[in-house]
Amino acid sequence: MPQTLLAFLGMMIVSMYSLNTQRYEMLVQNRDIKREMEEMAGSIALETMEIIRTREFDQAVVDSSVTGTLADIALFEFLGTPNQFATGNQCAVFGTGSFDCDDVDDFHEMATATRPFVLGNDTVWFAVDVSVKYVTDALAPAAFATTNKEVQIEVKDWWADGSAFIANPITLTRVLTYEF
Amino acid sequence: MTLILDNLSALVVGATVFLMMLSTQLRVTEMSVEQSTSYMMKNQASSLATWVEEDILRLGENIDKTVEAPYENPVQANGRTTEFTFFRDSINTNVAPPDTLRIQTRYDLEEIGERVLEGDTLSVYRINRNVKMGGGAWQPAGQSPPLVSVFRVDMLDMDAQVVADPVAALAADPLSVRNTRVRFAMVAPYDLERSTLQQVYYGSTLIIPN
Repeated sequence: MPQTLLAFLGMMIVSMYSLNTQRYEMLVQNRDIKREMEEMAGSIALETMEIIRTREFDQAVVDSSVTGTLADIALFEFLGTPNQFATGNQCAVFGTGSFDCDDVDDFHEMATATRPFVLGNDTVWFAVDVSVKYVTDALAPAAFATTNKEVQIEVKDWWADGSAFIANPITLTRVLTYEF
Repeated sequence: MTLILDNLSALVVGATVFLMMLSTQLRVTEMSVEQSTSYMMKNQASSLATWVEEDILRLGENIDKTVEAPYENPVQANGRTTEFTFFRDSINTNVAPPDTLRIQTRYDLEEIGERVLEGDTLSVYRINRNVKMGGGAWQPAGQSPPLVSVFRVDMLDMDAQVVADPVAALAADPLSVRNTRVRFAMVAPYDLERSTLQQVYYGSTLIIPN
């Protein structure tokens, strides 16, 4: 009887040890994959930012109604709060529709874009969301039009079954300034 | 014999426990090697990414893009960039008139061998970095570890679409090429069959300074 109990105890201890090792391995695997996803998401965020950065500061610049003076601020789009700009644009550049997102704030709360990270035979898709708001020269949020727009890009991995490795989206923020 | 038979169950249980311990311990050792390998791979990829970014961020420095393109078209083969040459000008303002020195940088992809990853055979390469100062000769100035499986440089327009012939496009419209995108993948230095990460990926899109 004591022999059986000891054997049982031995089996239990080893099983627990083995289970813990497996659990640790799973955690390490998940962490490694998550880090790789985050790396790729960062790259997608940067690329998206560069796309937005090449656009004009405001529709008034596209329409050439600006004069290159402080009076231009009054011409910049501002719809009030909380959404300072129109939302839900389906930007052609991201393939979500046919809207010509030709200035920075056209990307504000746009239809979520899915962008590929292609390398060799592998493709991983990422969901991209953008928000734009005015900030002051001290980079504080502004409830009025200024010469600075803060662009925030959020990226997370996108899978057809709705799962994701990145729990909290990768965020990239830049302030774009109007050039007089 | 009697002693063995009397303790047969204990022997069986003992052997099972020992085998379980052994296999678990082996896996723990394997995991530890995997983590070291993964760290080495990330570290080497990160070093490569750093010097590539430092180079690309200075692409076209002091060069008027309306006059000339600060790069040659990347040479692409089988989805990889095998050669990419770009340049910048260094200006010495301490002399009159200011002296200009052209600094050219070239990346060459050199095939080193093959690796088998999850049943697929991959070619692995080394990126050789060469620099040419003014009218001098090309000089080797660094190289990546021989673990690069993919290396791709693309010149992009304002919509991040690849420009097929960037030199011609820039000559036609100086605003047609806006970004440089560099992507590469690096394989692990050791083959580990059960490793989670067999390759690490890196990608960066950098705006070409005006």
